[in-house]
Amino acid sequence: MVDLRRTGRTGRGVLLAGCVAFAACGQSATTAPFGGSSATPGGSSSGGSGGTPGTGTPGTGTPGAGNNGDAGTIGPGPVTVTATPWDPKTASEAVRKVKDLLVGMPPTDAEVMAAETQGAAALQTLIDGWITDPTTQPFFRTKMLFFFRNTFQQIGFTPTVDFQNQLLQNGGFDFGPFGTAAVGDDSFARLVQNLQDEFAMTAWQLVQEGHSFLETLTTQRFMMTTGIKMVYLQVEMPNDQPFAFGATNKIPWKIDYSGNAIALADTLDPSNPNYMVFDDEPPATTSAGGIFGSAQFPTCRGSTTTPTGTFTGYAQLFQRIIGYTPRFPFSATPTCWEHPSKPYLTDGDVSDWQWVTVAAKAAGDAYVQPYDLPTLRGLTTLKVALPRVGFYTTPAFLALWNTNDSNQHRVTTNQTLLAALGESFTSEDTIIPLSTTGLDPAHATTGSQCYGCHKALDPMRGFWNNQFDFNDRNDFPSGGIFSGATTNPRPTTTGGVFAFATVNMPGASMLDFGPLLGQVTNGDALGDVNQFAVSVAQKLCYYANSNPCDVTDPTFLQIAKDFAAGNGTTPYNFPALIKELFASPLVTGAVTTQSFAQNTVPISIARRDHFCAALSNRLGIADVCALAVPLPSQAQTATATIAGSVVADSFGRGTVAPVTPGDPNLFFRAAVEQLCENIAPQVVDAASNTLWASASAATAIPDMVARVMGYPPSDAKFASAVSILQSHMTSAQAQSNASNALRSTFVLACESPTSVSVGL
Amino acid sequence: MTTRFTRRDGLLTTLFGTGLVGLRALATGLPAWYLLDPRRAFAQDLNCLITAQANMQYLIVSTSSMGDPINCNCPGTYEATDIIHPTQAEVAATPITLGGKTYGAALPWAPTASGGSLDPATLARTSFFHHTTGTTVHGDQPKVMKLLGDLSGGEMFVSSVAKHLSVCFGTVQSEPIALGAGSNASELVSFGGRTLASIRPTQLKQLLTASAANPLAKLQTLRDTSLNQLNALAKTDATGVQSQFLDALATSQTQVRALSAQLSTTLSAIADDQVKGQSLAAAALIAANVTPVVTMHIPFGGDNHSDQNLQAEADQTVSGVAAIQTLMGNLSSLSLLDKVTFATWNVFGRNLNGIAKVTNRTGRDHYGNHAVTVMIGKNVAPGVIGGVAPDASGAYVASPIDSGSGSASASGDIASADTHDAAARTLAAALGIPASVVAADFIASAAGKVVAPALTVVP
Repeated sequence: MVDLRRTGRTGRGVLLAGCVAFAACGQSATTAPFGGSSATPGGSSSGGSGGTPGTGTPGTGTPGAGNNGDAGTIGPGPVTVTATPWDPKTASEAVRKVKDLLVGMPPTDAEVMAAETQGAAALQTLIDGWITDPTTQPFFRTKMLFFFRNTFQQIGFTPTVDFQNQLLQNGGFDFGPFGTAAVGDDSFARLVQNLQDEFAMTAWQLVQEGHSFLETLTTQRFMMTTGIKMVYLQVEMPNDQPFAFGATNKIPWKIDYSGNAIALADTLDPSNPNYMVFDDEPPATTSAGGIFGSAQFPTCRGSTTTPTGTFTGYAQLFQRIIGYTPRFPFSATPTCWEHPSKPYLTDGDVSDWQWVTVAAKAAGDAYVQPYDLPTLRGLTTLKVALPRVGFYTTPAFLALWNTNDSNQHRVTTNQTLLAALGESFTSEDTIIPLSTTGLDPAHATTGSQCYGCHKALDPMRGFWNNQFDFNDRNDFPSGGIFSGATTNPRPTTTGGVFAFATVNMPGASMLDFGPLLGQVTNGDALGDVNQFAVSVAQKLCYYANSNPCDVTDPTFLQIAKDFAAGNGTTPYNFPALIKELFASPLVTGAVTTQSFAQNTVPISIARRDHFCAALSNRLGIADVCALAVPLPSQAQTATATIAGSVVADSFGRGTVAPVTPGDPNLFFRAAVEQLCENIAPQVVDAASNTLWASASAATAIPDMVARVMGYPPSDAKFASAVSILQSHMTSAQAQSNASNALRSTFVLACESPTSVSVGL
Repeated sequence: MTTRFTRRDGLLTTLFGTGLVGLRALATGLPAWYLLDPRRAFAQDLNCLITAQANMQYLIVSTSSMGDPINCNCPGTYEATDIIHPTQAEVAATPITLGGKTYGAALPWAPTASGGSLDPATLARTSFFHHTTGTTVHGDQPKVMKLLGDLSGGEMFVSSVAKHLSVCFGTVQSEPIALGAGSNASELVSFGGRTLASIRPTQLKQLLTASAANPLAKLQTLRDTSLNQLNALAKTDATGVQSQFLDALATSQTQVRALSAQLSTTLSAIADDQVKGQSLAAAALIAANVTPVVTMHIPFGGDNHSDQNLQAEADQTVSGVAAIQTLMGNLSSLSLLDKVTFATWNVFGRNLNGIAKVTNRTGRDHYGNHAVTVMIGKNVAPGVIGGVAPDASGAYVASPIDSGSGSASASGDIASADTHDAAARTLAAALGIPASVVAADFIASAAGKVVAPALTVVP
């Protein structure tokens, strides 16, 4: 029997993760509207997340704890287990599972043979190769970007709604009644992808350069595009949206409705007649059925009667930069309706990933103007007022976990603990914070259930509350303005008290939070293990098995300890953790552990990102599920819609465990079948670059068995599988033409047991 | 030998004793819920335990982790004059009669003849059960579904009743289906400790209605035969967990084919994932005997901290009650009206009075001390169960309940804190599940009892 009110190994975590009184909407996260993955086999790029990291000059050093110093490259370290032979079945299944999980590719005969000879030791060597070899590392990168986006909770927000705090209503990503249909081209969509990818790219780059993974808690360097830099600056511009009537000295700017191009350099040049005049060039693509520019919704583009529109404020100027021309005038009946325009933000601006150090802006420092793209493009140090550190202050994280005047950053604090430590507050916590500064008087009754959580949560939220206002901006409105904004005066102090689990210390500012977070241990009487290490290892267990590992399992704990301490390598070496965990019996089931008896590691369905990555990589089609296409075509929309029906990994508000459904059900079955049917014409007798031709079915079918089903030629089941597919081809050809017959044969391979599962 | 036995025994104890019940289920092939309480692990647990099967009901539950103000405007909250309601005409206080008693209620709860939204036949089987949920946290929706730990093994109430009903109904699957959760993980359903994926109504439609023009779809039957051969091939040397997975995979394939034919007409009417689409999908899934329990989401005002004039609350009370009636219509058109019980099960209610924003009608905050579960079904007696009473500060909270009369009573035998469990036990009884059967699903210290006056028949 489990009593939820008394559960939790150390009195923390599991079931009262949500005990804090979050007064904001009960939102959670699964799939972002613009997808989140980028499958880029062969290094090609698809969508905003497909840019090449490190094209700029990485900065040097990272403030905060855990910096390894000089950056290196991915190095999982030496083999840490002794060579012990595996039987053929164990070897075959272990290699098929782990290679699929890490790079989405099928096993080869040589790899299986190596595992038969040397067991886990060979698998560690193979993992080292898969994640470092230039031909497969891009696949590993894609898989890990997906893992990092989920682990650090950077996806799942609805940009047009969830950014109304940071980028304001009537400005920013709030495009009014026409929504994104009024935004030109794909810069906005790709900018949203950038925001989802920012921290995943940061974590990846830290890993690739050989940094400690603990730096994800402390880094003030982030991988950014020019577009992201623009967003960071825009968040700190004044609240000057059209209905911010208390705002003064709003920046003036104009739109030239002629439709002719105006060079941005001229617009930015105070001596030029077009200073602060932005053009209204038409976008490359049109949308919304041509309603923009119709008699009902005139845009004024090309008009002589309204040659210019006069605007004020950064909030709407930001919109013009990303391809949305606001209505003019904003109130009353518009003369010129909002409409799509050619964005100033270029393709390069949303793919030029580079290291950017976020530094504190001194009182005398001027902001780089968010619309000054030429300056932004070369910027590697961004001076801003809001502290940006770790994964928990990114615009994406703050948008996903929007706070408000009632919640006051409790949700932000709690989700940070959940993402970093896999634990949260409970009313049973016995820790007595060094200070209760910030404790809400409404929850201060000693001994009450509320007090149990709030006594530590409220002082901890001070790290955010004292430096971010309730909109996660830097306005700190004093109240009394017409907009009705809640009074949120700027606190006179910064920092808070970190009282959680084994750490009870104050911090002077947000910059102190990450190092404190990184000191929490699991409080195990048999030997403390860093809780971040435990949490990361556990999330990888979910990733691999769709189930948790037993956190008291000595095998699991040793892996977490090795990760924290470094086992023949540097501490918090993420690739080393991947190597140890994925070659361990916790994933392979080769021997019994406390978590799983031998050969009982759960078999799971291949959830969406595993399934789509495997198909993309094996078929050589970038983003075959069209999950990362910013503006999908009709066909891509159809594919993405079907792929959207395949269950995906996600996470939830106040939820300790990741959401990783592993059981097959009729809905999963129907979805993968339809997806395979959708893909079949792209790979069999395709109009161009076809992978297989029905005229060469005899060679195509064995290739399908090896490539798609994951049975290498020496596998005991290979010949039988080929025979079954050939038989199907013959029977199908009797009912249809050769193309359809081979396409159906592909569908059969695509929906076969080994293709749709992890662990068979 | 002794040493080896002890070591192995200890190993198994450790493996199976650490809460990884789902893994044990995979390993043994027995359902996880069966393993969670071995003390009651008898063979008959896998058989139908409901003898009066004519009264069994499927269940459709509307859940909301938003904590909608449904508790603020339903019967039982209008007799205390200092409880705050919206003042719009669309939700004007209106007398309605339930089980021979007259109560005040927001207009939509009234019968259509009085300007409300409910068919008189619906109202004649509607009960408003006043209770607490004991939480003020959105993310606690799963915990509220688990009765805050009062169900054994951390099972959700909907999954607990689904296990009993699925065996008796012979449904395609035992697990509930969440149609309204969307991207809100708090409204996902867990079963036997495993979180289930949610399904959108339009996904259901798309997945189960193959295009007749697709040449590959025409080869499905042929492909199914080949797929069975591949499954058999994979099973030739499969371990226990692998075999079980492969069996589940094969079963799912069979289910897809059967349902595609059976549901096509109803599913074709689904146009969106909103309440209307959920309503149609819920009815279709039950008509096809896919699952005994479906969850959906009917908005009743949402998380209305800031709600000027309580306008959203008023508007969504209108649309929410109308959605319930539409659901009844959909069930009726499939001849399911007497086979399905509807209920609401939200994370918490909202303040009825006592705070400035409520007094000023500018919004309501989370409230763990009062909520209302609406139950509608063949076995449900019309009425109000329990009610509200002011606490020491004057704030209205859920009253204790006298289980004999169903009335609010300061001296009632069901304490206010136990009304949540009482609502669950009563709802289970309304589904035709005897209290003795349900009792085994609760932990020993769980309280509450079936409130018989809420039922037309006590199983």
